[in-house]
Amino acid sequence: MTPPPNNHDLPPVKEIDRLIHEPARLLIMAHLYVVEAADFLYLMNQTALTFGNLSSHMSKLEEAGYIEVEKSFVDKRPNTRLSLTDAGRRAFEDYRENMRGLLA
Amino acid sequence: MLTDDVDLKEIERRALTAYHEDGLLDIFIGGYLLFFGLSSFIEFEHRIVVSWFLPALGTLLYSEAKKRVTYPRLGYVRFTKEMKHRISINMFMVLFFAALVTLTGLFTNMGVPERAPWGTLLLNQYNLLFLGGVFAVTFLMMGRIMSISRLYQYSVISLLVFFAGYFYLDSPFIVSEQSLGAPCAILGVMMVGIGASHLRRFIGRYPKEA
Repeated sequence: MTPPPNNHDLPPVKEIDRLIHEPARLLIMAHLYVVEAADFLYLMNQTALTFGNLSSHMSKLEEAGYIEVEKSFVDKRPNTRLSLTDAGRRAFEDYRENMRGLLA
Repeated sequence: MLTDDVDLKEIERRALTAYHEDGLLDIFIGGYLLFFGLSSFIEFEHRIVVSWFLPALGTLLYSEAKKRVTYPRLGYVRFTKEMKHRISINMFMVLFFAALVTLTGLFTNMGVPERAPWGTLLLNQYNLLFLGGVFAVTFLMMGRIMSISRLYQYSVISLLVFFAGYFYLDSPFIVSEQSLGAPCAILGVMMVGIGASHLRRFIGRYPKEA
């Protein structure tokens, strides 16, 4: 008879960052993690999120201090550039580490 | 999706692939090859100088085209230092490739004395085969580094075009400038055509925001 799994070996689920855990935000964080900075249009194209959706998730991530949003004008057009903050980069790495531990 | 299988390598690869989805790279490399090929049929002054000057001009035009065509449609992305390093290696390779074509052209122009070392004679005799191999390897490496699978197609196409050129145009002992120019021009036309079709698809897929 196999012994029951030892639940104490698992990292507590509460350690999983719920803000990043949401699929759309996870996608945004992952895309920003592999580049230095990207603008709103690029993220919309790559994540296939709508303008409103991306905008709302972007605000939540910005409030949490995970991303930095820089608004400017490029060729007289408004341009929103996003990048991960150091805290965001760390949070994403921790999230990946925790998930790996949980599902290993 | 919610596991550690958020495949960062794949996301990075897709970022690079999307950046080159516009076909501009094909158009610029193909355009240069086309110029190089056609110019061997037309005699004009300072041809060598123009051949050297064109890659530099092409690089400037390429970055301007990226700004006007790609960024307003796909959006702007600044790659990490590691990726930038990889991109600059790619750019170096493109320039190196252009220089190599020009040098080989010069080599063919100059001709080889009868008592030249056997390696030089062999290179001169099988110039087109050698050049086809160089093109194929260059495209293969570029495709791998830049994650652009259509560059593999160019690798095969250049082998076919140059090998066909060797058997149909080139006499083993008479290496003419035109026999080098024709395969370059054919490859150039094909690359410009494929690039233009990618550009058309890219513009349709990513319409410019009003």
